Amino acid sequence: MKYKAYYRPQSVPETVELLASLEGPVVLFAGGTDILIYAREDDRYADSSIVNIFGLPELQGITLLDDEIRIGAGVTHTEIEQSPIIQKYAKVLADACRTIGSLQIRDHATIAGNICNASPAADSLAALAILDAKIEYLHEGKPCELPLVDLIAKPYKTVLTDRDLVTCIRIRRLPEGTQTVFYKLGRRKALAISRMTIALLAHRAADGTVDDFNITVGATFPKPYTFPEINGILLGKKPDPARIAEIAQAISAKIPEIAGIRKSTTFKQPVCRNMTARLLNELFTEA
Amino acid sequence: MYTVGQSVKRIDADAKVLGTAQFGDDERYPGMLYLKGVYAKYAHAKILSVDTSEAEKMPGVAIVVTAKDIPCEKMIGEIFIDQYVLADDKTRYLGDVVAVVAADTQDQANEAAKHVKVEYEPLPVLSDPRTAIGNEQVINPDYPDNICGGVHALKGDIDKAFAESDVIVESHFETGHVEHAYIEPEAVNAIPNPMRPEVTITGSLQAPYNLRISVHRCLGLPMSQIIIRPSAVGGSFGGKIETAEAMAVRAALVALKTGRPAHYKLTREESITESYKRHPITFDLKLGCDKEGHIKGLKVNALGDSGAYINMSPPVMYKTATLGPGPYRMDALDYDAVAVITNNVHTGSMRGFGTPQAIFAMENTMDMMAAKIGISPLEMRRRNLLQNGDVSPCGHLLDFHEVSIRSVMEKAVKEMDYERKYAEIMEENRDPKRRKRRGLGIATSMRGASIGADGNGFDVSRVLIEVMPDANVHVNIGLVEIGQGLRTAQAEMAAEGMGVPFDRVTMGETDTSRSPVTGACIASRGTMMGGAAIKDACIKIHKIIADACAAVYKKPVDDIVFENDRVRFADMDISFPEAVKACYDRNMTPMAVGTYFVPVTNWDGHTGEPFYTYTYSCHVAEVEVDLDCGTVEVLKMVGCHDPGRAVNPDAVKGQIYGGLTMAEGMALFEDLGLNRKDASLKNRNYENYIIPTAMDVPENVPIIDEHHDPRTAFGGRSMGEPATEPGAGAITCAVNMALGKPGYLTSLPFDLDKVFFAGQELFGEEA
Repeated sequence: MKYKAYYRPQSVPETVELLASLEGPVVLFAGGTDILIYAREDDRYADSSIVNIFGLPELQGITLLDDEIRIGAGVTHTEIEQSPIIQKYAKVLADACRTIGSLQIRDHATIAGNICNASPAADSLAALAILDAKIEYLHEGKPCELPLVDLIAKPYKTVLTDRDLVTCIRIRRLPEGTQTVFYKLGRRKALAISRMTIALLAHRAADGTVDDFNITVGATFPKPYTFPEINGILLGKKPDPARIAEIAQAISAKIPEIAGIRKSTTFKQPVCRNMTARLLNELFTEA
Repeated sequence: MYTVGQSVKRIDADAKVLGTAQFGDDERYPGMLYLKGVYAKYAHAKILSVDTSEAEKMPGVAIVVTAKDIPCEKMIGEIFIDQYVLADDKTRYLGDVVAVVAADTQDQANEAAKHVKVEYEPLPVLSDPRTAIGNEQVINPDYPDNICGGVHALKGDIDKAFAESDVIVESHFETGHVEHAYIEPEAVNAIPNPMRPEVTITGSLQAPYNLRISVHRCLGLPMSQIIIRPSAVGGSFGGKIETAEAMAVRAALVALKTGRPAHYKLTREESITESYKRHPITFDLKLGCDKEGHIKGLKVNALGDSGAYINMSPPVMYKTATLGPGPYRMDALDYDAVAVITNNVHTGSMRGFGTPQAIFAMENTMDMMAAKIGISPLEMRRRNLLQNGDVSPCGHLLDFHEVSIRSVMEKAVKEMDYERKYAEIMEENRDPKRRKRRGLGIATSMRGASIGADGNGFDVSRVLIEVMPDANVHVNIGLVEIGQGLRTAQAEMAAEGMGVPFDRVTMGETDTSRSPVTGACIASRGTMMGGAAIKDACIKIHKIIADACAAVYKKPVDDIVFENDRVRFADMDISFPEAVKACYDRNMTPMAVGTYFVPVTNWDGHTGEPFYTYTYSCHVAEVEVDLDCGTVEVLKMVGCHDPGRAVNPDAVKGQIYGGLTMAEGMALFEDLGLNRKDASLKNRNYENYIIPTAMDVPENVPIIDEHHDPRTAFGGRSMGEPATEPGAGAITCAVNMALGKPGYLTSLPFDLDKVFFAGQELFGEEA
């Protein structure tokens, strides 16, 4: 790997100071599971200063807040997958993180790294999107915040500068009784880049009406999206096959609408419709 | 006590599990240079000039070599000498190497390689064998129609057979390139001898004696001063022959010109670009049966893509044509298999060698026929399988060993619980709204052991066995361990052949200066051919020891027996070490070269005895297809094989487990993403070239059904290729059954998109 210089700061303040002092392009190196692969392809980091932030103490930990969960930017996928807090209050994210790469990759890859790499195929993004994820970061040392859906601009591009340091991600703490599903379609069962993911959460009131619902599709759109108008098809109503079919139809129609008609659309649109219908039918007939 | 038949622990297990085994890339030598190849920019182009001057001035660079530096012949090849070690007048595919840079570090070599300047004049690229035939653009002038060879297997009167058939099925099938996917990319080292013009070559080398010929041919050293010592090899599957050889010749060239050791390894992307693949083959089949489903005749036209170099194409086509018809009785056969030169990556030896593709085409056609006749796929096979005394599709009277394919298939279908599941699945698949649909597939094979009649007269093996003064039986053999467990099997056969316990035997690492020349470890011949040579050497050493015993003990030795570490003759019963001591006391040498060659069989180029003996196999697969998204889940696979005698049953099972998984990859996932415009490959690493992971492997059940083969030394035959060859056929038949239409999907792999669209076409978009 070719690079201009390498730094390993020991704290966030030290990192902020370092970032301010460096000249030329900077690459924040967290788990490195994307960067090392890019560096093998070409010399794109030859003029960059590498700042290794893996393991910075302030970026660790998963904390339960009143209505939210705070996940440190440097938390790995394995930590999320195994966290009792995430498993209890945001299971869809644990399930998403479990499908990524291999154990070795999940042990090193961080959640903020996955967000900032902004791959359209990143498995955590669909789950984060339906959990209304907000990203906290330091811009020139000042705390800032953006919703995930606004942070990612387009494939492999966020609105952050190369010196903005993500500190944590806040997601919804789902009320008890909320059901979640994360579905991944890959070309094989492990170490697969997703062809499509579906993430959804649903909660039903005592009378069976749906009072909380959010569904999205991943590895399909250029950036994460949520669809309040589609969620509205079910909110305040009882799930029945007609409404489920309507949702499946509506969300699969977003594929050509947002991503344009591509070669893969003829595959993805019907698969999205089929699988959305199947997942929702299974979810609402089980309980 | 018989060692053969015992699952003794693999002698290389500890070193490989603990990580002490040394692979080619692990080796370091003082003053070593690191090499980097400069690849062709165009798959087909004239090379106008190569300017290495700038690269030579780069830091750390010791030398840059091109074709002009090769002192003798420029081309290599095992049978057909047409592969350029370094591209000379033109490039023929994108894996051609134009120059090799050698520098003090790998980084320096990589950097300098970017500064080699090559001027090209692009030529039209031929990437489709169908259009390459007879094309005015010729790739190799020795083959003006671009056809590089093939075999036309013929038996009986095919027109008469079809005229007498009640039902005819015609079909078309296609396969693509398949990568061997060995875990270790190619790595070689060439170490010059400072005392004399001599080079030692180590690394991932499957065919050491072929490499020695190539180095001799290109660099002109006497064969004794070209020493090949394969390192631990991290998987090969037929893949570490020609590519590794070209690399080794380049490395030896650098080593001899600089006097420094040369270390040359490929990245995964380079390995996939440069190394040869399994042949893509297109098949047009016509199968005729009577109304009960008994095969009357089979006619096949098979077109294989040889890629830029001939490599093993004609022998591969030989196996396609002679083994592709399977273990089925038929009156007439007309199987024409032809290979065509293109500018694609070349194709050559890969586990199965032309048969997995052919079995895929044949078995799916068998299922189409069964459906047309109205019998189950199992019944279709039961009515046609060969038995003792039958004549094979190519005309071989099978009266010399147990034709065990019926027993093998019945054991496999019993383990699968095929008949119950078949009835159950046919019933549940009646529901047109069912979205998850199961299917079963059966595929069988008869594998010709070793090379076959296209190599009549040169199928030979040799071994050197030396019994040391401490009664240690030391075996030097050039049939190499490539991960399959062959060394352990050889040691077991040597122990049994010599009549000593397993722990008296030691195995030398293959070293061409110590082990006599032998055919390569290819063609499922390692165990069978090595075993026969070992037996011959043991018999010769027994004779030497017997003569010594006669002289020392003054007793007749004509009834001498070597068994269980004892030597008995007349009224004597002495230990093996005592007998060996008798030998050394008399200044006699208990050492011998064992030789075995396969008897010449009766083959006229079209019909007769295409092989000396056969291995019978059957794979049965159960799959579940999800019409909503196109996934195929393999639920269970059974692989039943008759290896004659399983020399080491655990090693045989290991071959079967791996073979089933390899077949699954070929059937469902593997696709190199060939771009027909420029003959490039899109999927050049394991992120994109999808092979099964442990998570994708179903319940795999290996079954060994032994029938000792009187035509082999220890009753055993090799299992390398049989273990994988029918698998893709079984899985694809199962998928097509799940889709409710035998023979519906016709081109490999049956991946997500293909299966999804097939479901859409056959069952509509949704439930």
